[in-house]
Amino acid sequence: MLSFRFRAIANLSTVKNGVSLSNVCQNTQSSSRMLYDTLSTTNPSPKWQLLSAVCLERTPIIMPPMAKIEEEMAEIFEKLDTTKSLKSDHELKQDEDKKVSASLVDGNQDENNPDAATRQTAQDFEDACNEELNKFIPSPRITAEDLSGDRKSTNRKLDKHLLFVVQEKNEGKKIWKLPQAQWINGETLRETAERALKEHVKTPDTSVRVLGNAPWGVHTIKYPSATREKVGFTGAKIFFFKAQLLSGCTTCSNTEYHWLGRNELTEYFDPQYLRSVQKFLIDED
Amino acid sequence: MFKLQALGRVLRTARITQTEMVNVMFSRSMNKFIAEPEYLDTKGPQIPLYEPLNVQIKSYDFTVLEIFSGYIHKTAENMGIEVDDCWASPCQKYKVQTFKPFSTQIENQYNLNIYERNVQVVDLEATKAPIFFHIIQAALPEGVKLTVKLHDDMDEENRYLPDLELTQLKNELDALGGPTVSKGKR
Repeated sequence: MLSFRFRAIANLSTVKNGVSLSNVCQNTQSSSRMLYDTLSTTNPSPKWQLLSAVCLERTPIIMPPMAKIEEEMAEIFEKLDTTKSLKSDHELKQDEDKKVSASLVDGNQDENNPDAATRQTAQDFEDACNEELNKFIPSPRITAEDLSGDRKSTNRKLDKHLLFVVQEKNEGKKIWKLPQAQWINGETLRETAERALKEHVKTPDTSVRVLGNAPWGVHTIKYPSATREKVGFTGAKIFFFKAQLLSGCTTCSNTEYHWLGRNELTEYFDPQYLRSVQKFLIDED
Repeated sequence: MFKLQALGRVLRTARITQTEMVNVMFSRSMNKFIAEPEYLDTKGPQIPLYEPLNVQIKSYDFTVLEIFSGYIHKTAENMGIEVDDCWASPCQKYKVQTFKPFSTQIENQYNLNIYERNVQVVDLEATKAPIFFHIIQAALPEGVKLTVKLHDDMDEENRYLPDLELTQLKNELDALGGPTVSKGKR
């Protein structure tokens, strides 16, 4: 970073005063481009096709299980806390009850506490609570879809992120990628991303939350010279926008889609594309 | 340190705006020690800033809540976001009763408390905001509810518990016919 800035300052003598640093950056790029042009005979400024893609994620629903070291630390802290702590109300009541029951056995205190024997002891209360706890059955961490490996549902891998991935057929080749759309003049990149999402997902407005107006990542594709001359663009730049799934949404019937976990992405994506996408995804084990 | 100051001076004399990295380097600890002329700040912030925002977290378990509010504070500091204030609002107490079917006999009674912590973040840049919120959301522990909202007067009022004795005495005074007007010095 620092070396780049010094190069920018060196170029100051060739640039007019009162120019912001962003302008200086562009000037260095164009000056380096001009240098390149004198050496070769390509077009002066490369034209890029702009595309906007949506990275729709189903955020984790439950906590991941503790790692071994976390479990050990939790045990140690629990032991420390219990040895250092004072007795709670419940435990004090249990001690009281023991004294009362001991005195009952002696047979002396009947006059003072006539209803001592019928009083609900703390132990009874604890037993009732435990009974109620045992009646409660929490839902399973591993769902049926986890076991069957159904990649089209969002009900699997509840402790991890799931990414919405769509298959596109391009000149006979089927490529898996994030849903994308071409940028139209007059709309913002975020609107392009939302349009891309609407093509593949039916009810996007309330069930999807797009994070921020600025893209989270970019992937550049340089076309080979044959397509470059045919299309007129040097390549394409795909800007990624992050979105979160808030509630269930139905996908359109004609799209081929999957909800993928992080480690499944390597099977589906092109390695260069995967690298650009992984830069802005939250890390997971 | 002096080389960095010299760099800053060079950038300023050529009227080049500081890049993000240089901004962070200067704002961390050296901001107070550099004497900068005031005309440089007259243009105002180049990136739009948010009004004071309250990052509010609520949970039934206050140990987890306290540690997480500390985490939010640390994350904000590390991102260069200014944290103005960090306070705990009084908890909301709930008494939940379950009844036996088709009767008013209480089967179970629970006393639940919802604890609350607020972290106020000031001058949050619009470019940093989505990243900040996304990081906090990804790090949310179980049982904690996160809300981000603009600072309200009600948030300030909720911090204070009403003094029941005082209000009772005031009500009694009103019932007796209001306070006597004392004849002050003329």
